[in-house]
Amino acid sequence: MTLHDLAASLGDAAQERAVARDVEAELAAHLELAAEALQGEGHAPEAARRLARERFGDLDRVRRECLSVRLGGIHVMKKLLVVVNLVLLAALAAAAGFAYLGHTRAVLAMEQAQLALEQARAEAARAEALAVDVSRLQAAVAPALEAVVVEVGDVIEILDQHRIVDLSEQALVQPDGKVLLHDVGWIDVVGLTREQVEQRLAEAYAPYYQDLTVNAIVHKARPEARPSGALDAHPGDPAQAESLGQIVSGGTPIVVGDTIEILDRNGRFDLGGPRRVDADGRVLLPRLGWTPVAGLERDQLAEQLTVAYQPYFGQLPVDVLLHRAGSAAGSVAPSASVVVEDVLGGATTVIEVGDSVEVLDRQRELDFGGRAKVAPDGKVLLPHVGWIQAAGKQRDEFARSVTDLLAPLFVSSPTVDVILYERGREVRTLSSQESGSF
Amino acid sequence: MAAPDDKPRITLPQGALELLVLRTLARGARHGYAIAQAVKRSSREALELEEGSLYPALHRMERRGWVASQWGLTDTGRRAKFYALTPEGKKRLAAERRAWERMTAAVGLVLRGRAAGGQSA
Repeated sequence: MTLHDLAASLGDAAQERAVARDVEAELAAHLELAAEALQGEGHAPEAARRLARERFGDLDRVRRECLSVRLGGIHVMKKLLVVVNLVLLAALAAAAGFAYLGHTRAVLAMEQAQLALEQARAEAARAEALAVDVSRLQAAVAPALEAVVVEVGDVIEILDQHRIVDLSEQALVQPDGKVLLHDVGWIDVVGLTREQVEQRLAEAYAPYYQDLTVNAIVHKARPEARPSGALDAHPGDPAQAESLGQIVSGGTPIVVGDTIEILDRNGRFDLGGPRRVDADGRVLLPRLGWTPVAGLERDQLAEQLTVAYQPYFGQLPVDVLLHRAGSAAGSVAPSASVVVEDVLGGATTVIEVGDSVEVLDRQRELDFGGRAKVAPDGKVLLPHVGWIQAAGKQRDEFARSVTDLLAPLFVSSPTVDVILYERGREVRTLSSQESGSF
Repeated sequence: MAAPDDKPRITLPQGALELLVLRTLARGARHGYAIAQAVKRSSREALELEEGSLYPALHRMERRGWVASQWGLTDTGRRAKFYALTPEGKKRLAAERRAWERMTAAVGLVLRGRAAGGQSA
């Protein structure tokens, strides 16, 4: 065995030990977490550890399978390296053999290469002639294609040409000329032709999808040209924009009554749907709870949230969409006949009979089934909890009550937040005059 | 009356475990124990995974590039390995989900067809 072999062998052993330690630590952590949870359910420490082991299954088998999967990958890589080395050796040997065969065969090979080159030139000439024909055809069609130029208010529909990747994007071009898309964030599209949009999107998506051919459909802002049919609740889509108000461009401070959407640019984490900024200037966000946002600009908020979410999700680029009902510019003021159910007050607003409450698990693991109405006896029926007194309590006081009731039921001790909707007592309609004052 | 522990276990068909894990991770990064608990809760206790079986599956998915892992701290301050969905995993989830829906719809058609055949015979 050479020194090189010995070093390689020692390196392999060290790598295998590191993998084994990692697997062992992960499985041990699982058993500790499970035992901790069982102790929380009232089991004695020793019984909890025993039960955790039982529920885990065959620890030795799991350990072996994990090591097999992890080390299998390393061994495959090593085998690949061996194969690559063998191929290189074979190529060197072949080259040496060809050199040895001498002049006659070399001349023959040269003649064959010359013939192949001439054939390739003829093929290239034919292809060039065909390309000229195609470009003439494209030139004839070009004026019709170039007539479609993206403008603010248009909707861009994005599709994978081969329908392999589910892009399913329909995004509204905002006042600053940009659209917000999953994975790639804000993309400037205004003033571009459809082909230029496709090119720009293909470049933007290139780091995420291999060999993706992007098709874009530009739906013009005229109502009759907008896509029919239900749109998904995708950020910036026209149906949602209409219900939430005008999308406001960056640089505009957030005010009470605005609605904001927080989006993970990579689309990996659900950061919740659109939320109205409440009377305290705060908005309810997953993981963070009620967060002050009034006075911040859209992109300032995005930067702050990227930092705030770091402990939960690591490096998570966050984008923000800002909607304003009946904007000061008055460009899209909802009709006074449209009833808008209003988010009521702030942390200290007292719940009354007829209001509705929406309870949300801050970690978004428990489902409380949407809004629940406060019954005439002042109670509200919630999943996991049953009937609980709500009327007479302040909003956040009620949230604490629910959190306290959940603590003994769930290992993870969930924390809940509450949104309060006043429906029976006061139904407000939004108008451009009213929106600035609340 | 059957005790809670007596309720029949559902055996997961081939590939279902990976689909469940991908779907659970689509809601946020989690460690293995939290994944098992989330599946149990989401299925209203009907699906109780053999917890150990999760880990070889998670490591396979990591090798395939569907999930990425990182050591971190739990809410109670314990070290645990957290898994998160990668963009590749997100695509895989969409594809697996569509395949699963097609498969269950097809099985449903066959079952309904057999019942109808029985009545007409």
